[in-house]
Amino acid sequence: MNLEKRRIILRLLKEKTTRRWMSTFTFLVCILFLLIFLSLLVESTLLLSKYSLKELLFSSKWNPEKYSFGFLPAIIGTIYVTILSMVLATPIAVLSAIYISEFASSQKRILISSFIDILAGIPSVVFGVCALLVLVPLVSNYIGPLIGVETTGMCIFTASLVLSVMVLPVIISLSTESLKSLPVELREASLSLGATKWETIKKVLLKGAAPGIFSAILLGFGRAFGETMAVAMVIGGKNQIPSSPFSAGQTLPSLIVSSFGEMMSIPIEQSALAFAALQLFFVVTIFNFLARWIKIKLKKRWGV
Amino acid sequence: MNNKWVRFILILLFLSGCKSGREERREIRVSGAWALYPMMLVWAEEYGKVSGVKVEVAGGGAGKGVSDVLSGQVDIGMVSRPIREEEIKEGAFYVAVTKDAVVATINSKNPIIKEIYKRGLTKEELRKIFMGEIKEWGEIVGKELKDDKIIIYGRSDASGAAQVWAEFLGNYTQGDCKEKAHANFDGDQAVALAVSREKNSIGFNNLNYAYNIETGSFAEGIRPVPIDLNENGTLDPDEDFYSNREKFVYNVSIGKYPSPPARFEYLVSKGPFKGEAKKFVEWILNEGQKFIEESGYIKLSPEKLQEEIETLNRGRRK
Repeated sequence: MNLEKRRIILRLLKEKTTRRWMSTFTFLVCILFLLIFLSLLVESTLLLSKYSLKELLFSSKWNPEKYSFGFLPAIIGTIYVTILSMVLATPIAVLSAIYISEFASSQKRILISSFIDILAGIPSVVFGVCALLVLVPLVSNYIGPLIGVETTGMCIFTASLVLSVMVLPVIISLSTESLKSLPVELREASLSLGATKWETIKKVLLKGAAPGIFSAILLGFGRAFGETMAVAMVIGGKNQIPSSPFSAGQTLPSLIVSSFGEMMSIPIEQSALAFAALQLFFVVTIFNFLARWIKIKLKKRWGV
Repeated sequence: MNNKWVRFILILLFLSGCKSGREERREIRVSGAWALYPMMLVWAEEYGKVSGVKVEVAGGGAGKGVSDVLSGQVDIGMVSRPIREEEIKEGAFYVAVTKDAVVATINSKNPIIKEIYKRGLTKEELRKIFMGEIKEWGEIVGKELKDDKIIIYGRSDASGAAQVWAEFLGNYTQGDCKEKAHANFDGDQAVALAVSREKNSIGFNNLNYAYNIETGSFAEGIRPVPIDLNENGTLDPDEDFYSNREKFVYNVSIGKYPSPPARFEYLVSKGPFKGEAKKFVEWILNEGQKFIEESGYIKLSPEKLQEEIETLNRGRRK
């Protein structure tokens, strides 16, 4: 009897400790987020104490060796590249998602999905190398002359092309998920009222899956925003406000990756790079919260 | 149960046996500039053979080398650019151990390549080209040519090569060159590749990318730009040393090729070099010099070598 009691107590104890362990770990992950934010903030203080936020964010002169740190070209370059790549990728991704969830036979679906998953798993440096060897000459020798601009191929446009390929899998798989999760009754009801398949998709399914698709696009945005290696290899690393999509530029991540190893020992430059990282961190965080919020809002509105 | 405890205690005993007796650490840790990394690997291996000391080498860039050394994570940092004021203030002490050189590179099908090899380009002409003041190749030889708009390439990553090149052109920084370039690339290899693909381009490379290390002749599709040093409008016999790697390296080491763009590569420590690290650097400045040329670097001149050995022993720069 006594033995039985001990066994029960031990089991309950185990139960308690495992739960505590799990909650501690989960909590630690959340703390990590704050720690990263704080450490970047601390690292940036040196720069922020010497320059006003206004001149950092709105001056376009970046020359660390002469102690001028203007982030404007990199900020504009980042926005430019991100938006251009999303404009290229979003329509393709959404249409692909519709095809996969509504039209493709199950065999095709499995085949396509596995290819898309592979695309998502390819390291970004591989994309960068491919872009440098294939896209850059393509843009400078064919696409540029076709449009009638002179370009070296190392430019905003090329970087956007690479990025659009890289964010495709993210948007496609998430959009497919939200289309698939719609109840069959929706489709059946719409079709039984005499709507064609395309009308059903356009008027019913896309509306129903909108919150999911929207947050997929925003997550793609976040991914494009922070992509580093592939962009750094083809953007041309020029700290000036780009005059056209075919001129070289710079993004915040490429700025960080191209000067970090060399300049770590100069406190002010290290601080400047930490500040660039802080800006990225800030924007990506906002984007993630925005994606969540929009999803919730839309769900409420359409009652899906 | 009993068995478990016995095992546990045995393992503890075993582990404590590992760290018995603190003898002096017979290993040296090095990190820093990629430009010096291959050379350092050779030195590390050869030094290991003669002394039995293990030298661990890591890359990461010049800045990483200096900050690692200052924070005590490594014993020696490698730097391939002049040491900055801020770093010296933090206590960085440095010794030059080898040289390398940066040359301007053009495509082998450049529209005026024959003229360039006849007359060379003066420093001023190079400055005007890299600063975008001369826009067409034809301007240099006073001819109207078709399709000869100069395309300037540079480095997007912070690099010693780009800094010494900017220094050579005049009172410029890498940032100035970046802004004037049509495109910047990550790494020497990428610049060389781009120059070999675009006939109107000009860039700059470490000599190991301008010449093929195995054959000693020019690298595929690119040519080094000869500099007209005395600015008399022709390339005199004593200025014409670009035809192969060996000749070029020799002329850099005797100081014929200007510095910058020839540059020293430094080893850095926090305060004077001490103990095993000092012995290693001493070996590099003596026996270690014989491995330099086969690795694609340039020896220090005997006077400079002497000076650096004295500096190492003095423990401070003059």
